[in-house]
Amino acid sequence: MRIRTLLLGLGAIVYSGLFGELFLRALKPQPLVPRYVTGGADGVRANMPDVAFRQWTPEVDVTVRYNAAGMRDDRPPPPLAKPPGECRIALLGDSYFVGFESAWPTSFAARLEAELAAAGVKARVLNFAVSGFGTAENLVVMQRRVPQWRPDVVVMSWHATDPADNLRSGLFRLNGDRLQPTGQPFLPGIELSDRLMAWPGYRWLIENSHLYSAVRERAGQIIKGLLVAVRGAEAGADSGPEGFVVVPPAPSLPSLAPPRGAGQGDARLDRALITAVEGAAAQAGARLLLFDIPTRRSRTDFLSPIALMLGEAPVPAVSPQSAFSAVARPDLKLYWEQGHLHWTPQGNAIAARVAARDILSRGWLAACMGPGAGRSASGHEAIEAGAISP
Amino acid sequence: MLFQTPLFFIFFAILMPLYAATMQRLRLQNAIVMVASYIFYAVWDLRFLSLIITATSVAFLLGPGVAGQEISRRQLRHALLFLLVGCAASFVPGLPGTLFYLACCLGLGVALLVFVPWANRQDSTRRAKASLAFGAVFNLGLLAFFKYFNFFADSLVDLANLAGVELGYVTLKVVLPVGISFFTFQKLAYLIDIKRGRVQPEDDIIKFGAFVAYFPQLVAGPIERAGHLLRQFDTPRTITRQGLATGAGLFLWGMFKKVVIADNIAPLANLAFADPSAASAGVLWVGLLAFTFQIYCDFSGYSDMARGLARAMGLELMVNFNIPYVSRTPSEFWERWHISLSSWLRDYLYIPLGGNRGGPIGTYRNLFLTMLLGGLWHGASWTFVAWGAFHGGILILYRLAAVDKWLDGAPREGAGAMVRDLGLIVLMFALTLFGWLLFRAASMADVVDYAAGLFSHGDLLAGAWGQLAAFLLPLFLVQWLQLRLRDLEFLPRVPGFVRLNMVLGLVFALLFLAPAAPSAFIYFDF
Repeated sequence: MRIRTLLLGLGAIVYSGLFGELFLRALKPQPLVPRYVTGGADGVRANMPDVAFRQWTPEVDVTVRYNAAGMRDDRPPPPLAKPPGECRIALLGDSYFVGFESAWPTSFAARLEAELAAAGVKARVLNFAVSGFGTAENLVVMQRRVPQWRPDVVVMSWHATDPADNLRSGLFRLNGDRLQPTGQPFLPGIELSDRLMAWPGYRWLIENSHLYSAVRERAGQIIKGLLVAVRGAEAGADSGPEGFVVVPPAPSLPSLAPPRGAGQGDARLDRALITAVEGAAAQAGARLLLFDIPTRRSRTDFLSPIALMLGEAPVPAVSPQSAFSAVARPDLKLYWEQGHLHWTPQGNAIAARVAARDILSRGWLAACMGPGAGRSASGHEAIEAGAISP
Repeated sequence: MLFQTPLFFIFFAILMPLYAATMQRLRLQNAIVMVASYIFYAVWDLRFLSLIITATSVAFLLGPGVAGQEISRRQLRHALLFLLVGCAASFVPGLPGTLFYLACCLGLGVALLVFVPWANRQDSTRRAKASLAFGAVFNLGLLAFFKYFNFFADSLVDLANLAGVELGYVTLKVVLPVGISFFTFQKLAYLIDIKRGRVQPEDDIIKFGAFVAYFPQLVAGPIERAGHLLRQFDTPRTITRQGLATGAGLFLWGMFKKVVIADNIAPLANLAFADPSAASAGVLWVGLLAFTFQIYCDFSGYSDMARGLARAMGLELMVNFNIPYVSRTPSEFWERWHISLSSWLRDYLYIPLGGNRGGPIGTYRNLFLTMLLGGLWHGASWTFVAWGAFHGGILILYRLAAVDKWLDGAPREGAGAMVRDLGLIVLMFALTLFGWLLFRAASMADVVDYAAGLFSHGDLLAGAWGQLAAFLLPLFLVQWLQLRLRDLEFLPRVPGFVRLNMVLGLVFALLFLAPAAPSAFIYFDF
């Protein structure tokens, strides 16, 4: 009797799972955007080296490859020693810089490299971005992983979710005006994830199951929210105008509200972290450029998180917001809309042009410029005229 | 506290074990229900808790008086204690208006201290009349103040302005307490039923408090009668597996109607009604149909959820909706739509006005007045008045044409009957659509723009027809089964495997097809 009940219970669970899977596939396909991250020796997450996996949404179907160094790149990592005449640009950021929902040639990193090459600059982009990273994790990566590659420029993204991520990670805290590492690692769910990822069936599940993806996303949201609340209370983050910036959602497009986690954080901590990244970059002989990831309110309306959350950026910064607004049309998608809202190839192309143009205009890559370099990358006018191609 | 939010699930998860643990201690269980209901209400606005407590005390104390009995010192003591403790508990220093409500409570306490000895000195007939008059004036006064003050004041100002007189100072900003129309009508019905000898006055203020404030039906009905719900608080309840299962089924279906259907089609209605003059005919038709089903799914969803919760607790609330859009005539529609209100209006307004006893003219007048006041019950707006008048008008027209009488004598089976019924249903649905246009429009000018646009703005295929159809499909399927099986709760009758799939479908739809942010029920505004 007990075995029969047990079997019935198990059968009901399996059947419910199958029902849910079919239900979602038929009525509300979920974005399948696995991350393939593991724990790094430096206490923060890292992309799994040498893996290739599929990302699928109702709008895209792409393969993402991490090379042996865990960088999103279809090519093997370059040697540590920099070849003569080549400059290196290190990318620090989250899934926008990783290039989620984009094929490698259309990702931000590949387009940035192409833009610089077109301008006659021999530069290699090294992509250290990891999905879900905030500035605190970027700082650890800048201190521990990047220097050995001897970059000339570091481009770090600033995203609306960063303030909440910085609070949530608990990697650093402010002691007066001084930024102090807490000494704690931040590897949320990595132990469990590593165990599960060792099982091929689980890998199949995360790349193919709509039900799993939906459940995981919701559970992730809840856990993230709780972590922010707990860490915020511990850090005593205030809710005044300095600490919190609420980005109003677009009234007519409720599904396109600001990214989750936007609007929570501690602006003093954020500024201290950014300044620390600049210091670490300088120690490694590189210049830091803070790059804005605009918040999408509609196909034609974008907000600048740097302007909204930081006011005046404490380091050199650039935003593609005005370039996005210049080309925006109701029939043009710069962000995917049915997945995780990452940039489309058009969005990546514009963002990469803005970044390349800014870097070149600052003369930070002068050592790697060939004769007649710097002309073709100044494509801002072309962007504003709307002449973009995927 | 919305039924579909995690906060409510936590609330209910805490309440149920306490409720179940006190099955053998009826008075304690009633006290738990009452306090839980007050907490449920206080989450919206603690200040207005004093309103329910005040109204409960008054109705409790007047009950024996309306029955012609002497109001005892014990009853007076209990009512005053209840009033003062409740009002003190809902007093929040610093909250706007809280001092006003406390002062009103104290003033009412003094009024009761004066009224009760005076009433006790009168003979029973005079005492009954005076007590009923006190109760009616008090309850209708509350409703008039909170719900209609602004409307009548604004209308007076407009009228005076037309005559060249400035009266701008009359307007006050009175906030509408959620559910006031529902619990006011419930208490009025209690007093009138005592007067008519249908129920006995309640002697236990805790039990009476639980009846008045019972949380599943407190803010949006069904408007329960004392003879039905109050009597259920007399006897021990039982929680059964069947009650839990069917209650959960009702709750799930109600939540599906609200969260998945109503909330997903609401944007279609909002888009069309936002600027009717600028929308194409297709968008306007989709918007009107969307609102027609939105308001039904929203309100009947709430009623089903309320009934499901009550059943899980071993209590039964009345059926409030019975597939209204398959009605053939206006009178049938009102027997199927918001049944607790339409039967209330019939019993406590239409019949006291004379019902159909005053000849055809009197009957038509009473029908029209009842529907007009039914419209006004929904809110202080000319569009609601017009909606009530429209329904009164079509009730009269159908009565003049003796359609219901003709149907009573006509054959019920066969192809001819089916075609006839279908034609009548389509006609009645079209009339209902126009009624909802009056109900939903922001102003009478919008009604004109909208109605004109339906037939003159071209491009009928524009608008989200597919989206509307996709969300209505499960509703049509379930209602077809309800009609075919002649059972609103047919779920236990279908084979186990089909039932499992239907429940799984509901659960997954609730989890994954609901809009991200929960929205309040439409009838909370009434």
